[in-house]
Amino acid sequence: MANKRMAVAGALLAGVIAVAGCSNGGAGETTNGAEQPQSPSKPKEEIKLRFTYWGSTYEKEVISKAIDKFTADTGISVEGIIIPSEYETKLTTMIASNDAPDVGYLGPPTAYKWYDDGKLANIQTLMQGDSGTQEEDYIDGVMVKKGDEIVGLMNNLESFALFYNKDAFEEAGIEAPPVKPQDAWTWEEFIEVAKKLTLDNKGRNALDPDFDAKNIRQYGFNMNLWSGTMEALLIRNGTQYYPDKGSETGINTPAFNQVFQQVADLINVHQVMPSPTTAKSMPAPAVALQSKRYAMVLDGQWVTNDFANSKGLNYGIAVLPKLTSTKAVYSGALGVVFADSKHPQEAWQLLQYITNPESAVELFRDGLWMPNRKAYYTEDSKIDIWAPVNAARVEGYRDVLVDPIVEDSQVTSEVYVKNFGEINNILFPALDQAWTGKKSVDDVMKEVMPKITPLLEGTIQ
Amino acid sequence: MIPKQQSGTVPGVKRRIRKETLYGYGMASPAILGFLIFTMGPLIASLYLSFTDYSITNDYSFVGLDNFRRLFTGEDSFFYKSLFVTFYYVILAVPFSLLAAFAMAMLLKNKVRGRSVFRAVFYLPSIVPVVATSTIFIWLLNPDIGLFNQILSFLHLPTSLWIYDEATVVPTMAFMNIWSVGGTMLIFLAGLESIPDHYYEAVDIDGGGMWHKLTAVTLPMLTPTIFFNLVMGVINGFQSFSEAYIMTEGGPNNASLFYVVYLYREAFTNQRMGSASAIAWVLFAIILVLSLIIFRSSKSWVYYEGEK
Repeated sequence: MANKRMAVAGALLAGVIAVAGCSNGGAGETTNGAEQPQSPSKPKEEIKLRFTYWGSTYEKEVISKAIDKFTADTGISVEGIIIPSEYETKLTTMIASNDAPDVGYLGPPTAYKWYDDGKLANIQTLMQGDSGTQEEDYIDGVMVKKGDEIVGLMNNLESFALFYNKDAFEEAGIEAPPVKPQDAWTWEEFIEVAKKLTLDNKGRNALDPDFDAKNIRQYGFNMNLWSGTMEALLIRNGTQYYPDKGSETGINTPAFNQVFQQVADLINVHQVMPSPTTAKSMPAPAVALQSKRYAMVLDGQWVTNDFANSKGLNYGIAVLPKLTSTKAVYSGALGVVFADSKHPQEAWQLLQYITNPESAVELFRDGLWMPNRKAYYTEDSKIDIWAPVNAARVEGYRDVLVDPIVEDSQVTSEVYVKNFGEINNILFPALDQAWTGKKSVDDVMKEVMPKITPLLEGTIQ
Repeated sequence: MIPKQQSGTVPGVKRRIRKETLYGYGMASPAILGFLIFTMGPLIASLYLSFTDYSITNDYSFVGLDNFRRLFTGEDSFFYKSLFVTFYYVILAVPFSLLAAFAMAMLLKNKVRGRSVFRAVFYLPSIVPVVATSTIFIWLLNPDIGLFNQILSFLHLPTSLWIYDEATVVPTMAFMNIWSVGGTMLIFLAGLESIPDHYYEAVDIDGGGMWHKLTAVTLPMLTPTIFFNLVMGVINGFQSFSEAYIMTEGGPNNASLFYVVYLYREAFTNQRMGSASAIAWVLFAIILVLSLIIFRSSKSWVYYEGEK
């Protein structure tokens, strides 16, 4: 009898443990359970904010430091929750279980959607109750709006530039690429240089008649093929998904297709760029550039952080080749305040604080972020805070990335084009056929336009 | 005379039986509760949600058969594509893996030295996590520096783009699937071992050779096992997800957009839970129909010893 009782007790215990173990286990460093409600009997409310963000371990370090400084300055404690991957999935789950954070990062398309669903607070109302920053302090388009309501604030800006290995240029005897937009290469000049820098295993470059395209050890150029990098080139050809935020789409116009075709030709005709399958097996940009897998790379300026940390990498920055224009594009993830937050005003305070270059200096100075405030692009003293000449901000950075933002730039389509994500989900897989050279871009576009057309719902005004 | 302690009084027996029944339910309750709460409940919820436009953050509303209509009229351009890709994969992978598992089981049935070592070695790949397998295969299948293409070019055979080309990605995945047939092989092995030796001796006596042994004895006796493995293979084949998601994410150009990858994308990337639930229930219906077909057909080709 005693054995039976023990057995039953053991089984029930196991059952309880199993059910408890199946409950919200969380991933990484997230919290369990709901936020503690403020008990009315407490005399002084201790305000605690939950802030979700993504990023590498390095970003986690820097943001944690910024959060600590915020707490020291204001007395508001903040729990930073880093979600390195599957960010939106995780956040969706948190919202579904009524466990949403107070403030966090969010991609623009999802931000609009959740704003419409009533999950995000209107920052316009928060700004009015606040003596902090005002709209004019920010670069145009940083305040992501829907009509008069502000859905989110771009935490930081990102833009694209050409980065190159100085040693590779020296070895090939080519002079450094231009940094000022007015001196930018034309596309043909760019191809010439790239060819001179594409070397096969016997050291012959792509202009050589005996060039062996099957054994390329150094490519002239590489870029990741996604909407961000392509946009940087599209805008330099005077086109966009919806040029000038208008109602006419630029997709499948000659200027639009031309940009994609020119990139495809870099791979298949001029052979200065690796195919996507070859590029897949290449290491990260910092390593690849240093080991000269490729001599030039078009990438977001956030890579300067990795470049600065790569000892032995002698790199330079240059302005992108111009096609018909030298306009720059900038983008950024949004910081949003969640509607269910108990402390929206404090949450907005945290957002402003973290995006202020002077409170989180490392994030800006070490290469990861660009500021979202105008003053930091126009006043020399302020520019020197986040972009003095250093390992992350090499000679020429100001000309290539800082001045164009205030002189000639436009915000990314992601922020104002409806169904931007879905359109790209159809467009980019189909473009695989163009990258492998099987079809011309015009043919690919003809094929996908019927699928894309229902999604072309215009821009968010 | 029945001794007293064996018969007991009638109420005593009833009480004991009831107590044992209660203990039984008590022991099974965690499993039952777990099933109801974590499987049955969400199943019913998802069936309900498939008739709504739920996307977690919105106030969802009932949309009737709209989600299903969108799928079947081709408004969602990926539905038929993913069905085609999945059927193609199942048609290739299931016979392939059944054959491979059967062949391996036949080899391992023989009494050779180190048989248990071989059995362990052949079974091992099936317990390696799918993510690890997929990552390694990405390297092996790399068109430029991967091992497979290097071996092929060493033998002066044409190389392939493997998972990076639309035409070859599904056959490549079906081929990859063979690597993990350990479990199927084990079941075949059990089935083979259960065939009595005297059948084989009968073939010997009648003057038959290896071929007769195979076709007259092994295969017919093995039909229940084949039947089981076929049903399991089809069910799992349709739910194939991890390899495609990790290695190609449905590409190139949606050529490896397996049905569950499509489902995952609709649910978590596009955040359209209502539509995704509809997709999931369509999958349920398809697998159900196919399983029923196989079951019905089994009457004509599966032989159970002991039946009349």
